[in-house]
Amino acid sequence: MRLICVACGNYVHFEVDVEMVQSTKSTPHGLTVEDSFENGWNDTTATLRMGVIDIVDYCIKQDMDALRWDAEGSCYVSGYITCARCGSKRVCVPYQAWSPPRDHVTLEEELRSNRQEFHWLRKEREYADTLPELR
Amino acid sequence: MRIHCQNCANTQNFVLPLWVRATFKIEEDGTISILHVRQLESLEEKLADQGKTSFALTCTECGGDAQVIFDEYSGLDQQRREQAALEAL
Repeated sequence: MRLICVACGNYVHFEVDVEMVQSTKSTPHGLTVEDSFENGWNDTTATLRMGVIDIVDYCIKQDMDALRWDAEGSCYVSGYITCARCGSKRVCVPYQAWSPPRDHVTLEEELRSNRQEFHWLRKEREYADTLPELR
Repeated sequence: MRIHCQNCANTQNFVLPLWVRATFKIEEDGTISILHVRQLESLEEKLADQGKTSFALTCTECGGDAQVIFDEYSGLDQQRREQAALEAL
């Protein structure tokens, strides 16, 4: 599960607007529009696929920054992706990185519990670049 | 109608960007599969707008802006009309 629609719970089908490149050719009979090829590579399908993948990855990476506040609905909505089932723009990643975990531990407690390990680490670093001494 | 590049002599191949709405599916392994593609822009409007507010149509060879001439014989008609008017005088 990479994205979820908060309105209907759909996490499979979505819609996105992307720009793709097509080729136009002038012929004696008129203008034809077809897929654009460059060095045997289909640019039309490549730009479409990469556009969709880029937007999905961007929304997942940016998390809250990819959302904008909708004053009418009083909720956050995605600026890029729409749910293909209900048409809602309330699409986001299924979890939020900033939400605190249930067993929340303060930084002070965490440092105190890891103090011994840190001492061992410093000790390792202190003697890491010296050869053992024979006595 | 005739299309030609303003920089080079290309009159054949041009590139046109078009906005589309893609419906896609996220597979269980996280990959994306495209289900449907719907065109959002009118090709005719884009061609008619070429050179007025945007230069969407570009040359494949040099990347220069293309020029679209819808009535390429209008100038010829004007010349003929002028010639006829002079002959009448």
